[in-house]
Amino acid sequence: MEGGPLLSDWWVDESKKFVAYLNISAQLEDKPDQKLMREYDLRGFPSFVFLDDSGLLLFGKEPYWRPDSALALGQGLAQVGELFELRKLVQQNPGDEIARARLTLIEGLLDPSRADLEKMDAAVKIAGVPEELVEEWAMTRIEAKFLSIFEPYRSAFQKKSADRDAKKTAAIEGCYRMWVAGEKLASSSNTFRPFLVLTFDGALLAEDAKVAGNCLAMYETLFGSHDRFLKGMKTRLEKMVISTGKVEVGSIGGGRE
Amino acid sequence: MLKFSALKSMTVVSLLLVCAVSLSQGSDELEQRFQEKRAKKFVEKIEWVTSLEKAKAISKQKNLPILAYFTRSYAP
Repeated sequence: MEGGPLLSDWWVDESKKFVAYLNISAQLEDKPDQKLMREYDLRGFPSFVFLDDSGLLLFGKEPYWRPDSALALGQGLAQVGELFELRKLVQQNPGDEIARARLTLIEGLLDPSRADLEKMDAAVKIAGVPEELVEEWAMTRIEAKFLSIFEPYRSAFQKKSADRDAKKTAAIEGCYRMWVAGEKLASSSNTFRPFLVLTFDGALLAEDAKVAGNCLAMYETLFGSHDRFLKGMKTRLEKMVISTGKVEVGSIGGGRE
Repeated sequence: MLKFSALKSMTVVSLLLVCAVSLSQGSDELEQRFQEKRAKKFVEKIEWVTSLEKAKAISKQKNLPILAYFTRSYAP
């Protein structure tokens, strides 16, 4: 990249459309932003990503993106261009409800963990909002809801916060409620595993052997009978069942919905 | 006994000195590699910002996205 595309005329011309930020990992603490790559969870060199003015990662991480041609760079700019145009439009026309709703949806879909579910739900009801955004939100909503429950716990766990146990309890109760309400993540989701495990824990807490059994059966199907956590999960379910006497021992883990 | 103790102290001091020199050399080399990276042609080609805080401020002011390029100097 440095000996080719980053020296080309198209790169120089197109650079007027973005703020070029260079981060050099030097293994020297006095150099700028040395921890940033880790904060964005970027693992390979080189990495190119688009960010907004708050530092939110907009595009380029997954799927991995490399602006090694004018076409590739243009595709990346197109991914983030609409967002910046809309922000400008809303700033200039605060009364434009459709633009505001589109902006709310695009921002929320970019980062479902920070999406305001109520605002997103209100935005899809505004007449004139593009149908594809409404459909995308319908598919993402459950994931966003899960992330709004899961992120506080994950963050507390990573920071080893004193309230991490309370956050865990809130997360497992929230996931269990989602499951019972029929709001289940697709098993193809990247976050399905934590959702399933937390729901299982929530079911144990609620002494709901049926849901716990269903979670366990699904877990075994998806992650295999040799999964390192499976045995412990089975043991915990058995203990709960025996102590509450809710289901005959032997049927554990065999249930399906 | 005294001689042994003095010898031991000298050894420790020597080892510490060797470590310090070695660390200093490693750090100098990393600094040199960093400066070499900064001097590459691609860096001169466009106006790069090397602080994210500054990039965010410019992004806000100009309403432009930030294209962040993550590279390394400590290894090829």
